[in-house]
Amino acid sequence: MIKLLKNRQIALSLIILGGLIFMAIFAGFLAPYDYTEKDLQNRLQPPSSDHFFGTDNLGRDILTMVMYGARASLLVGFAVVSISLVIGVTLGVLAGYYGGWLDEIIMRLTDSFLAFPSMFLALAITAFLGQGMENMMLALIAVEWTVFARVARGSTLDVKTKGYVRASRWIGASNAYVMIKHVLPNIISPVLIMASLGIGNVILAAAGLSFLGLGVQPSTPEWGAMLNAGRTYFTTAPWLMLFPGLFIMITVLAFNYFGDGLRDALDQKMKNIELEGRF
Amino acid sequence: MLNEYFIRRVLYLVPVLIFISFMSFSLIYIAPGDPAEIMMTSPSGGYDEAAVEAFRIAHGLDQPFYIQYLNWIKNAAVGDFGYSYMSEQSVFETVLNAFENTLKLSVLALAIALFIAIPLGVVSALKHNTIVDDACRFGALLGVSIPNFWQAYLMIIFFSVIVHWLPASGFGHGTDISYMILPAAVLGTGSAAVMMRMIRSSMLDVMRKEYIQTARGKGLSEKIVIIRHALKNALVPVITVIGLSIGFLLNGSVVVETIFGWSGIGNLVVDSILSHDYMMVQGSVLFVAVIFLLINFFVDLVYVWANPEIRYDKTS
Repeated sequence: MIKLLKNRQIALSLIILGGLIFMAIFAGFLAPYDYTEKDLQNRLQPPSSDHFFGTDNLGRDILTMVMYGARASLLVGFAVVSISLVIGVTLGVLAGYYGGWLDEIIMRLTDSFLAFPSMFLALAITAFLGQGMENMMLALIAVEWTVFARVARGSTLDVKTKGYVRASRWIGASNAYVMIKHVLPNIISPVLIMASLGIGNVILAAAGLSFLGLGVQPSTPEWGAMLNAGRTYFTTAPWLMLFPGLFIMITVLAFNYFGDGLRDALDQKMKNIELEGRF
Repeated sequence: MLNEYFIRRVLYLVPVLIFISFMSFSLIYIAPGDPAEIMMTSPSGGYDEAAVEAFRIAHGLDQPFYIQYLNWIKNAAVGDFGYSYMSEQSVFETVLNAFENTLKLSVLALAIALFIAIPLGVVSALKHNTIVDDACRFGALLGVSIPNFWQAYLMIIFFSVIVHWLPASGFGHGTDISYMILPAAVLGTGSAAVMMRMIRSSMLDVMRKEYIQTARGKGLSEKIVIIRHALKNALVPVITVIGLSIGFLLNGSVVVETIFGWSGIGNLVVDSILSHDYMMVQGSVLFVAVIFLLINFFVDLVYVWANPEIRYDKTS
């Protein structure tokens, strides 16, 4: 753990992520204004000492909106990835451990989800479930779980051949015991790497869907939705789009940079797993 | 051996095709609102029961689920995806037309991506662990982290609003290349990031190989060693990246085409969702999934064909 923190790349990305999470949690204290406060006298003001990031078309302070927006983006990122991780790892470990027809069924199911380019699958699902944050999250889970299923299955196949796993089964340990005690701890590093890269991807996709008006609705402060609202004014008031976009980029970059550093540090075999840029 | 692999891969396609068709079809079932009621509702908000019933019967919506599915699949298999409830146009023709436009944009984007990725990937590998390599790697991370819709607006502001070089958006009859440059550049830079990393790691692998040492030992110039021997071999795994990039480009097309008003498949899907044209959404999603599946299938085959020693299990 300490060795990991000495890695410059990991330490730097953790500091940035820590800052962003801090900002999201304490937005209520840190933000200079109330995000619901509309000041139509001061709409579309350029950045100034009163409003560091300027104001939007309803006269709301953009810095405040960006701070609250971190909540939505991080929440979506963490929630979607955690749920996908649980679903994907469970199915992947079962497939890899038992093999046979169970493996066939699970892997063909994974292939089927992967057959859709992810954005189209997410779009189709949000389209038919209706717009809104929860439905968007469901759509993103439908895309994201496959990554974990494949990584978990591959790593399980690897671990299964190891001496200690075979020995443990041989002395009569139950399958469940072997999977939880031996398989899970040994596949955790590739899963964590994929989780970090996954959060970045999910935040990007969520912002994209909200930008299209299919995710979080413009009344909630969310970076993608802010960009959507700023579209109309992008030539006259570019700061409406500049700052939320910049924060999406910093956040996603930090998660990717962290995942990338983690991969280099933890797992030599993983060096071939590339950023897939799924969205 | 290759035949056996080929047959297995073809067999894998069958359940996946059934599943994606089933999923695409069921989406209409989950969708909020009854299409018959939506269609027959007059602008004033009221609708006539008899007309709704007639619409249902005319479109087979009164049949049980599985019959509707089988009918739909039977028609879809011969390229009949039904008609848009909104514009009454053939879904398949509209989708095909839009896809052609997306393809044009994607080819240009792919060219831009390769143009950026190959030199940077090679330089990054040759200058392994130097500041140049670090900068290239960081650039690639930046490339996949930048929201494409944001990048699009930055580029519009610069190239259209400030220097007036290129049109901000529009279609230009689908042939005017100046309308394609900005959207293709946005799509291309994202793909370039993914490709560059792949080329770099594949180049690093190849440079360690014995035949590179041999080639050097023969006294060939470094330039020839790199271009003739290393790059040629390093580009084989890049075939898979092109497959991956197709996914990246299709995904990107959704946002990028919407912003630039390019009449491609991404734009079509978004417009259809916003106007509740479910038939069109269903048709486009199915079409894209089938195309994507087939592209990946061929990419796999080409990869295996180019690497006879690899008969890998794709899922591991």
